[in-house]
Amino acid sequence: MKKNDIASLLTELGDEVSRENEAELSPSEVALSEIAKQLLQLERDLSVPGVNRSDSERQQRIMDWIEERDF
Amino acid sequence: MRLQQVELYNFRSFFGSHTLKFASEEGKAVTVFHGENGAGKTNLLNAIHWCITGSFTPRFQDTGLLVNKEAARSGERETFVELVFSDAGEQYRARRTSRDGRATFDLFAIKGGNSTPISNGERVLQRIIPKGLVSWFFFDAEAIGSLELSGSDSFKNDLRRTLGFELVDRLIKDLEACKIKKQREVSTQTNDRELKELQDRIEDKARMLPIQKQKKLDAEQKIKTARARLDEVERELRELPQTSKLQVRRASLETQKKRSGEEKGALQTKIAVAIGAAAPAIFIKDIAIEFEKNLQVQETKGKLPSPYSDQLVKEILDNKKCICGRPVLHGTDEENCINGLLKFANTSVLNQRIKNIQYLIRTVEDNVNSYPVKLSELRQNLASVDKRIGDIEDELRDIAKQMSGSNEAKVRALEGERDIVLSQLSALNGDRRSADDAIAEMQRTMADLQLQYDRAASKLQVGERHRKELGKITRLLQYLQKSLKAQEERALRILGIELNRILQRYLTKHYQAQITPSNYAVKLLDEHGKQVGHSTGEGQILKFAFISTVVALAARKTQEKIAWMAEPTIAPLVLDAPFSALDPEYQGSVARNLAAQTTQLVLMVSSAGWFEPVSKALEPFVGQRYLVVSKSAGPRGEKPVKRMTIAGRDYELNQYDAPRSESEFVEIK
Repeated sequence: MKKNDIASLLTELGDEVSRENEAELSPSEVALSEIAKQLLQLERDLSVPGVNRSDSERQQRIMDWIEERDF
Repeated sequence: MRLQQVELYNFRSFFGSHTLKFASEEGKAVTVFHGENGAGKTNLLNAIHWCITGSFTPRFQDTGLLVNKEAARSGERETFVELVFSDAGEQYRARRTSRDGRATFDLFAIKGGNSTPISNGERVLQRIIPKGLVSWFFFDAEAIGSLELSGSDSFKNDLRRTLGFELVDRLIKDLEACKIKKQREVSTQTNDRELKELQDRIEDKARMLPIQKQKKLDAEQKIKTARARLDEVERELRELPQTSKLQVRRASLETQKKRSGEEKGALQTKIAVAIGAAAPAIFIKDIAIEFEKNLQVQETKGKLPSPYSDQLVKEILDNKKCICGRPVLHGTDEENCINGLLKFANTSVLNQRIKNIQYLIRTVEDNVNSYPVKLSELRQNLASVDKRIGDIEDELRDIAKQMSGSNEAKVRALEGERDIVLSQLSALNGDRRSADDAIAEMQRTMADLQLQYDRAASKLQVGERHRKELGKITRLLQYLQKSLKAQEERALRILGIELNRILQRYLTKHYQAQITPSNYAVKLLDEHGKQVGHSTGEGQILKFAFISTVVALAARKTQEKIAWMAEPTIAPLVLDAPFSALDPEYQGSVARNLAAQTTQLVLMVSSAGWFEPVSKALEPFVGQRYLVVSKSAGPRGEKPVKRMTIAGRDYELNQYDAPRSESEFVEIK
């Protein structure tokens, strides 16, 4: 079995995903999608290994971040 | 995570310090440990497992006795395992130490040759390889039979973590908590009593829900452990000559009992459906009969349907002539009288309606008449299945009596333990069901309370700022939940496609894997769509294929293609005795698949388990090889020396007259 099998399958499906996404997203969903990506980045940064932050601190930081943005 | 090196110090059968290197180069990432049964391979697997998790594989015994016996005799009270590994470009050293039965853990970051301690080392390590996933990557493959692809919550959570959905799951949980906080601000700002009360109840449920979910996960974990123990006890009973036949018979009877139970359930459902379908008919039968009598009375009286049709009346009026021959002129009394007859004339539509009603009444009567026969047949079938179950249970009780009444203490002890574990399983399954019911109830209540809150809040003067912020969080949540569902479906689709590709390539039968999206349960279906048992040879292949596919999928970082598989877990696959549990025809293909799918593979294999198809499949990928040699302090006498040939050279796998009894590693270059 080649290791490429999963990679090529993912590429295939990924292209399909991109085509679907472009066709189906409304303008507000496009905006939400961008916000969601940035928020995920923030979530990851706030829960990096070794960082000592409580759940409520993290949630407050997320709430503040959302408040700073207009969408 | 890629393993680089492990050091064992006085751990179990290993006296003193032993340092081993792992192969990790692309294309040569397989490390093999050859050794006889009892040489110490499982100790090595558990050393790595314990270092990472602080716990052991389910079948590992005497977990309190970690310090090597010889070392302990000379006063040594400490043992440790130290693992050097890399992850995401960083290098780490993890050391778990047990001294006088107390364990400590330290994690260091290695940079430029210096080790810097990391605080909260356990937590950091869990981010690299979550505890729930360790059993996927490091496992006792002889116990593959007990690996459940069952769709339990813990299975689903573990799989989602491996696939990298943990980040977005965590974000959704955080956003839900943010929403609750915002709602609290709104209810405080409006100072509305109803809103505050609703908010209190929502927060109360939000607090209790994770507790119930944890209870369910705990129960599932205990069920997993109990099942593993049950499998182990039953395996021991199968292997004892005096109980082997009885245990095999018992296993067969239990399978039959399970199938009969399913058949009984299906019949009970059919009976309920039949009663349900017949009940309205039975209920309205008397009314229907009365209605039909009324209809017939009307008919007899010639009123319904009328003896003349509207067609006849219209013809008379059009022709201006009655059927008796008298003229029916416009504006005359005759015309008015005949016009009046239209009101009661029989139309084709009315006729059809009456016929339909009569047909329905007939159907009701037929249902009522036929249902007792149908029901009686179903009940007879049910009685026959019940009898079959009764007979099976009688035979099972008889077997249990023979086992527990055995002359052999070991048999009695095993049988006793089996009874205890079965009771535990029954209680734990009850706990899991209760937790399930409680979770479902809480979720329903929360959804209902949220609706009430939204309704109440919409009537109040909520500040624009609060409304806007709450709106943003709600929209984000909805978007994330919708998109996550789509991503999940894609990931499961890929998993399913890849799994079936492997099965198609390696199975001799035309079986297909099917993954249930709601709980991720994995089924193997034959060509007729019937489920194949996971304990069959093909079922074992499914499990290996599943593990290696998940591991490979997680190893392919595809954030740009399948968004939010943001932190998939990449770890080596460490397997103890993977091939001995497999049917011979599948050993080579499993070996090939494991080597191809994983980023790093560590195998502990007995000489008997290093079958020709296995060695042929794996040799090109082996980058590091060791023998685990069992040394005995006693004299050889008549005892055998086991040997193994690797690359044309002979090696001894056990030795006698050694300075001490221990296990030792010999590197094969």
